[in-house]
Amino acid sequence: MNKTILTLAALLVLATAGSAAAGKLRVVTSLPNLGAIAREIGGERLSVESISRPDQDPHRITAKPSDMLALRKADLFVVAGLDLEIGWAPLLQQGSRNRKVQVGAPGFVDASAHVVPLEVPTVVSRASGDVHPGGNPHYWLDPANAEPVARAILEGLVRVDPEGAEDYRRGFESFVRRAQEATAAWTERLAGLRGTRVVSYHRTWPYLERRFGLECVGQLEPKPGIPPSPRHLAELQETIASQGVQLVLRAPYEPERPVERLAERTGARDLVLPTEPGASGTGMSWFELFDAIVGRLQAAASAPGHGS
Amino acid sequence: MRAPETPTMPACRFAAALAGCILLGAPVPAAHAQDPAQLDELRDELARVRDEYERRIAELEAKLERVEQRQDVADAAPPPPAPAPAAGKRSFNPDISVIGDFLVAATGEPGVERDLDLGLSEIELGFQGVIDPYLRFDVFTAFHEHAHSDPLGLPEGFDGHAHEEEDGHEDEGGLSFELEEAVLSTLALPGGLQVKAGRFRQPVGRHNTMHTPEDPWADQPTVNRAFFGDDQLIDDGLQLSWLLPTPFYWELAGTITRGPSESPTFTRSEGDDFLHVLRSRWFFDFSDAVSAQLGASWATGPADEHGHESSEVAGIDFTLKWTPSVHRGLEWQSEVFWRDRPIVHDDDHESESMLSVEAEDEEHFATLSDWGFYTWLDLRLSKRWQLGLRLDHLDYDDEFFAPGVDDRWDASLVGTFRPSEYQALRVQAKRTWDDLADDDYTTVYLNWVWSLGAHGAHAY
Repeated sequence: MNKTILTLAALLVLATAGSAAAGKLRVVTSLPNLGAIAREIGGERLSVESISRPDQDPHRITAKPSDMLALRKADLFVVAGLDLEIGWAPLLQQGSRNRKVQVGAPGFVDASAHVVPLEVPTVVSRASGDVHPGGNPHYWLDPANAEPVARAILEGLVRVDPEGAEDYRRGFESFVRRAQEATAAWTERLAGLRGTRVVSYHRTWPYLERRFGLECVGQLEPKPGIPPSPRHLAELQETIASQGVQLVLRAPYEPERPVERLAERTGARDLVLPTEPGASGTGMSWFELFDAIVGRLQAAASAPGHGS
Repeated sequence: MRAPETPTMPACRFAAALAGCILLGAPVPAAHAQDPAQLDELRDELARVRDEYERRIAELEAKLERVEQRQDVADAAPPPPAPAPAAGKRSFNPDISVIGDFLVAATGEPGVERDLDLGLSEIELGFQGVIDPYLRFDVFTAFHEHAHSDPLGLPEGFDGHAHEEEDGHEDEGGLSFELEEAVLSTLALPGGLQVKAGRFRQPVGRHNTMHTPEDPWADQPTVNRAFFGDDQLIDDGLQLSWLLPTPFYWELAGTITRGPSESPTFTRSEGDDFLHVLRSRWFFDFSDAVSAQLGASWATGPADEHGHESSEVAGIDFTLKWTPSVHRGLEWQSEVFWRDRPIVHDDDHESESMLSVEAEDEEHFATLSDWGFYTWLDLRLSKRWQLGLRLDHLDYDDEFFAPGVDDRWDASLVGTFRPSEYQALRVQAKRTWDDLADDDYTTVYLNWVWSLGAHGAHAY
């Protein structure tokens, strides 16, 4: 008798657990950081999946059929926008045959919708390299942009799941508040770095630089998407020496060798900063991403030999 | 009534004053107010209103200043130049691309007079876009060398060889214009279904569905060229495909098309005979870095214009990719095809000739059975460099050829340099051992492909 009750109870628990998992709203994001923010807003109501891996170059993802499979059942598809995913997101949307996630459908969210982009080109020409007509797409690297991104995701969530609107709004408000507090704390922690001159491999960091007052004086890439040439590196080496540049910023997926060589020659430090939560030993949440970025910047600034 | 002079926001103050006037129902106070007492009252009223608005404006200004200050602290860089809304695309124009393909070829093939040539092999215009929430449309037109006026004397499948002699095509040279693809695809059908309509690449194997400028070679695999022709198997019709609700990727596709007018294997029938293609495709992710695709295809369609006989092609394709990092990796792609192709069996044993229209008696047909494969190993060395090796094989039907004519092998080494994502420079050296040719020979290609306009897609 007892056994039967126990079994029944176990079955009931399993059944409810199963239905809870099945009843979740399926959110697919192009990038892990967008997924992390969606999780902050929707919490238990959502199952979140990201297409690119944290260590992948978001410019150069291949549209794999298995990603179409992930998108097939999605209720909401969130992209970073500004043409960042232009080489692969349209293929995935078409291949998924899921009308909910097509451009213009309620389940499609362009997370850049409320972001004020930087580096919007006045003349759009590939003579300037791989430029994005809408502006630099690496906006999520400014922690203050979490608010407009979260707002775009919130709007999408409310569109496709109005029943959860209350929960999502609460999640959004709580996240934005915590993000603002954290951003203020991070800004304070990096106050000593204001005015520090840096160079970077790609134009990955303008939003981060603006937030924390870093001054970027050059890139290893002569133009976006074009690998460094010896001549350009020689010029950059002079810039680094004359401007007193101390840090060379690099994303984990950007090539190590040219940066290391430049660092060796100039004494500047090769500093790898994660661009996505989950990359190179950082945690999975949005907060942990910036904790890692700020921590590394701080450590690099205070490390012995800095500025030598 | 004059707007008070202040250095900031005069328009705002004027508006406030104006609003005050309207509130009092006295748009032009001096004109209507005759009585001095009334006038005084009005003045007081106006002064009150003005004070009230000034207080509010001061509050607003202070607020604005605070916001600006906060912004100043945040903005080390100057503000961006008047950003438009951050949406990606701001026009209804389709994505337009122009793709150029320049080819230099030098061949040692016996019997080819012009053994060195160069020129544009294709200029392709692409127009792509979403029509409405339910449809997208992809159009590719091309100016290219006509298949039968190939000035390069490039090695061809045996059909090409025979064909040229047979109908004595003149080398016209120049570029011909052609609608290459024009395909409407549904985006919103339920149940994982998708319909395509128009002119599209038939899903026979993997290479045939790939867009030509994306080919990693300067030429085409021998078996594809022999079975599907220089322009690959592209035809007008309908396709229905279904993404099965399985935990792994499984797609089934079936097409019905009118029959290609120029193809070594199929033809357009005068009757109600159509080309049918079936394809099944599976995709597996073994890990983040390793993935594979397996495909099986089967095509059947009219072999002659009267629809007496039908040709069949069956194929299997396999792709394995290993991408440990963005710019490095290894790709192995192979396809094998078998073909049954009824041809007119004439007594002179000039059996490599194309089908004769005269043949009306079914007994005159004999079936040519041949098969072939290619296997391609591509090593991605860095963001810019790729090195690949391809082996081609075509096994001729022994019964239709003189003794000693068994097969053809080609081995190619291909090096590709990509200065940017929008161009590729390619060198390909190919050695051919063909029983139909008098001697073994080498062909070298220099190929330059570039693309202007819309960003291309990174298909698997």
